[in-house]
Amino acid sequence: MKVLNIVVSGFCLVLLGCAENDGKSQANSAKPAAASAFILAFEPADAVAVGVARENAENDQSIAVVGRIGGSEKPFVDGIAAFTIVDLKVQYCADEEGCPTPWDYCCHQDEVKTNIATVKIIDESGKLVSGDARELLGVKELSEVVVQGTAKRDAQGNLSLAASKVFVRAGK
Amino acid sequence: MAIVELRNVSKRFRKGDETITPLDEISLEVQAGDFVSLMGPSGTGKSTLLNLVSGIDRPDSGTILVNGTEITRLSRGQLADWRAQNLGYIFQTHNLIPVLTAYENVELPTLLLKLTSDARQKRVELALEAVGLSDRANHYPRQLSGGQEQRVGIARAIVAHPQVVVADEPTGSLDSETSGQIQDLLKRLNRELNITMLMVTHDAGVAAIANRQLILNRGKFVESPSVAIRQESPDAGLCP
Amino acid sequence: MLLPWEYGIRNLTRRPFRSGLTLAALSIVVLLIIVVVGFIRGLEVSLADSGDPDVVLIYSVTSGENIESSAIAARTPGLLTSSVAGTVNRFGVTFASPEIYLGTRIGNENGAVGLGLIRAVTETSPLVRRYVRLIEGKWPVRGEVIVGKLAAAKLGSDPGQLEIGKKLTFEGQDWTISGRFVAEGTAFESEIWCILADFQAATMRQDISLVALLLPPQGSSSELTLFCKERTDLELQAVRETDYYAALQQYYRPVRLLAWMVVLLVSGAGLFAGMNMMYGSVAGRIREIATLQTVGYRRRAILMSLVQEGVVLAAASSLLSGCIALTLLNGHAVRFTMGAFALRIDSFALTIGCGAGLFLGALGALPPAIKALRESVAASLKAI
Ligand SMILES: Nc1ncnc2c1ncn2[C@@H]1O[C@H](COP(=O)(O)OP(=O)(O)OP(=O)(O)O)[C@@H](O)[C@H]1O
Ligand SMILES: [Mg+2]
Repeated sequence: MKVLNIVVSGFCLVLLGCAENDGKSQANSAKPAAASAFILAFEPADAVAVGVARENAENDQSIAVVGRIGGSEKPFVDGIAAFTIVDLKVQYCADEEGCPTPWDYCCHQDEVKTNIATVKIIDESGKLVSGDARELLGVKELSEVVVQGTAKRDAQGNLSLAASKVFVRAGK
Repeated sequence: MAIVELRNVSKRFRKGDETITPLDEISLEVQAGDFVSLMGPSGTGKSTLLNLVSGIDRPDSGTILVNGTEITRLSRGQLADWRAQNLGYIFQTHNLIPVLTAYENVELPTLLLKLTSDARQKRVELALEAVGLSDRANHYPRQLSGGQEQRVGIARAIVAHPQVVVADEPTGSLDSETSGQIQDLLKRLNRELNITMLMVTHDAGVAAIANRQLILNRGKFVESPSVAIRQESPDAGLCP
Repeated sequence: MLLPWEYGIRNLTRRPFRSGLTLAALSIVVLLIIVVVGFIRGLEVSLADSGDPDVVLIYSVTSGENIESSAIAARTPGLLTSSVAGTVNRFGVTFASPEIYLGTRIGNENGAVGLGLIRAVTETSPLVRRYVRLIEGKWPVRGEVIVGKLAAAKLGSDPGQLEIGKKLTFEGQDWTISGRFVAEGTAFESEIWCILADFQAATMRQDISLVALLLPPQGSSSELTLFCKERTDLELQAVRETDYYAALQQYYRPVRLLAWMVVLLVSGAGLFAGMNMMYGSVAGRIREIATLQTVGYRRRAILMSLVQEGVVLAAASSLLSGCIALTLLNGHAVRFTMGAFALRIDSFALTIGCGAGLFLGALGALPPAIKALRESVAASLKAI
């Protein structure tokens, strides 16, 4: 049995090296935007970038922020209509690199830290909306969105947006 | 009525770039109930002829009819089924299955027939009785003498009640006394069960028990002047 | 029409020595297959059962799949308690277990050293780690540890050295064993547990590896996930323990793949053993097989009989190996990188092993039988 173990572990190392190469980007076909109460028909004119909002936004200020959904392998929170957005100026992993999850910004993680915000969708009474933001808003990873809501900044510089309306940009 | 009929049958063998033609356009008719012996120099194709008649080999041309069936048209599987019903084969070296007893060896062909187990048992016992080996039923081939083994082989060949039995040198490897017993047995089977016999032998004395003697030479049959033999033969009365 | 069953059986006794050798070879093959499949099953089950569906692990986002390399601030449990109180606090009790998890060299009183797994825990840990149950001794205090049922296997040490009262040495300090625990076959059983504060002092660490949280019944981990996302500065992730082990399963996929390859290779060897015997057996029976055809047996019937011979032998081998595996090897502990687990000779392993055995017996008989049956009957009758 021991001999077998050694052999098994040895081969394991060899095999691990060549695993995890398959899987193609699946972010290509955008769903039709859901006719949801949270969708804006027109893009707000005065939207600011995520990075700028993190610097300037006041607590409880009403604000429109533009960004791209992503920032980690799973930018959506399961069970709650919430997700993270990243400043458009940060480069996400190019298609040619063959990364299965380009929205995790694995090549530019340092920039992401200061250019990310959490978006929580709230209803009229100000409560968190449960469910899946992907279905609610017809978005997916790497969708460009403009979020309208109130900002919340904590002492560590984290920015949260309690959003009542979202505009989803056409295309990618 | 001819029970075995060969029409213009040829058989060739290729050995390297040399071709041997043991049987060249031969024709033969054997009547039902006949006892035919076949002699001839070694290598002339006697065994080949028996193999063709029993359907374990195929001619290159010509047709073979046995008991009204054109066996040259049957597939390999159909030939096997046909043999089970219509043909018995007695080998020179008996070819008994060593792991089966005398009884089980004789029983083998009956397993291919639609019989009740009682009928099957009866047949096997009768066949063993016919060859005089009822008391050896539970012996394995290695526990039998050469002559007894050959008799078991004969019982196996007749147990399915075939119309035609072919025998390739059935006494070839036996001493003269045992050979005599086997000859008597074959004669009895021919006469009492009316089985058509086709027997190859090298021994003129053995050939003499037949009522029709053929000699195969250079691919052709020569009918021997068998009148004298017929007169000597006690079976003369049965001859057509 | 088929040949009588006895014909095949008695043919096996014709050359008892050769049949015996083949029986032995096939038995070894089947046994190996059962063991390797048992290994795969043990690995899968220990990983699959190890995740508690109600437990969420909070650990560093940068450590990926490997909790051992995770380091998070010691104040994390406090932050969680204050921020997502609804999830963590119930009836005034905090269902959060801060832990350090670490693989390290562990020596016993004999001076033998092995690689072991340490989990440093607090008094709240048993609330969260519900499967863990002391079977002997008592919960550790300062300078003491409790050991899992399979810890000795993981260390590769004599089980006698892991009895209560014995001393272990790790992180430059002596620890006395105060108890032993089981955890329903989960990965915890190969671990050694000590007190967190004690271990932090010994290693001069201030941080911890993870916080394990027990969700309320029907609770959701969404709030925890949202907390980790909002507090980007903490670089935390919330992963359900079941998902964590599922990911580990993925991580060990190559091992399982390799094990299946071993099964295939061993099966190949078995195939040759079976084929070799049947070739030998059939080669000596060419004339007999031709005789059977002359009598009127179709080739298919003879083929079936020959396959039957192989299958009977393989069935005997499978039975033998199955019994050996069940009685001698089932539950045998296996040491592995992520811990230790028990060989699982379950119905699946037995089915695969014996199924492969029977398949090999049948498959091994086919080529020799086909070869013998392709010859012309007339020519085969002349064979000696
Ligand atoms: N399978 C074969 N391949 C090639 N040649 C063959 C084959 N079978 C038979 N022959 C040849 O065909 C000829 C006739 O063979 P056969 O066995 O019929 O002779 P036979 O008359 O029975 O001889 P014997 O009296 O010695 O038994 C021989 O020359 C033999 O060499
Ligand atoms: Mg001959």
